[in-house]
Amino acid sequence: MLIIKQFILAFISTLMFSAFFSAPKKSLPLAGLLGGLSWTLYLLISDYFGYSKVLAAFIATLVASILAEISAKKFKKPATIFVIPCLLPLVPGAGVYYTMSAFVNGEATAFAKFMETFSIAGAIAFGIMVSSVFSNSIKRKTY
Amino acid sequence: MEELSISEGISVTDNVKLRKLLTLAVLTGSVMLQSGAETYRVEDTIKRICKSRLGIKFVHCFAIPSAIFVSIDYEGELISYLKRVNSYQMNLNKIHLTNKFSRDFVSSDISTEEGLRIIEEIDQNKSFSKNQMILFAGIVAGTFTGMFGSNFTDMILSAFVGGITMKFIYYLYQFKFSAFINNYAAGFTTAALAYILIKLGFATNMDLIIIGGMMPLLPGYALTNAIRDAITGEYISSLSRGLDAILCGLSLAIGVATVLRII
Repeated sequence: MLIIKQFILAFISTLMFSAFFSAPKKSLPLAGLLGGLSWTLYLLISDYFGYSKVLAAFIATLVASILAEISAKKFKKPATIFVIPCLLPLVPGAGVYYTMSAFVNGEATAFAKFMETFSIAGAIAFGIMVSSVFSNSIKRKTY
Repeated sequence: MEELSISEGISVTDNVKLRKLLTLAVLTGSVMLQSGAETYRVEDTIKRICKSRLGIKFVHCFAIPSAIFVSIDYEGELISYLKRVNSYQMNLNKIHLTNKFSRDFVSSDISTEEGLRIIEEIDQNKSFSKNQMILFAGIVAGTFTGMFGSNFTDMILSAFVGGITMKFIYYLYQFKFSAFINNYAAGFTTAALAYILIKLGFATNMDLIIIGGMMPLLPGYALTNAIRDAITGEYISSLSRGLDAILCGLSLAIGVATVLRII
């Protein structure tokens, strides 16, 4: 039940995020679905199965961006339209906040939190890199 | 490898056509860059547009987030174009429209003048008004607060905080401060509003409201673009966007930290 609530919230927030970036109106629902999926997957892996947040972020990014690349191909739209919104729920906003709050209060856990936030960002980056295998457009260029 | 040929010069009509085509290509590229497209896409589009007309074979293009350089060779006449591009604002619809336009332009025989008109139309395109954007930012903030596990009241309050912060940023735009000042002010406003709501007894969890309010402002799109540019080997664009993401995120965090330090 909780996971359905989370999915709906992530769906709405991604949909609104795409609208905030002026995405084409027809692509909004699909972007929302992908965002909901990536967030739910992240929660399932990190909270329910108890793996690390970094692994969860990596797998969620990988699955969501592969699906985004496929849908971009299918609807003949630039992949950015789907890739950017569907990764936004995974951006470690909470991590940034708790890290900074720990630094401000001089807590000893500050560096551990910083490392975790940084690793999540790195995991997202690596997920996008691996997913580019499935993309036509982002291939290394030769001149 | 294309070889440059050397000739005595080309006719005036050809020269005019060539310049118009180059203008169209660079204009398309600059609209894309200003909408936050990846640089490899910009370079690709410019090359395709140039090669589609007049039998041009030699086109080299170099784009970074703040400038576009193009050189084309037409029967020995070498023409270059350099255009500086100002700061960008994410607009996925414009990226989609320019992408569609370049496909249409290459596959059909639309005249260059018509193309210039279409591109200017695309540049004027606004999908949503400012007030709608403020509403969207508010809903994003509210839903993220909910996703991190707050109750319903906090969600609504967070939506208000997000909306007011976004309105404040739009107000700040007219003073043309740097992006860092805007982000610092946004972080400060979010945290200050959340603190006021706690003190007045409306809200229960300040952390979650601040996190929700920060989400629409965090540069996640810059990070994504930076990585996608790095994959194609565009390291200069990638570094510049990565630095943009880090500095914007940092100034936002420092804005919030200022409030947390004061209280």
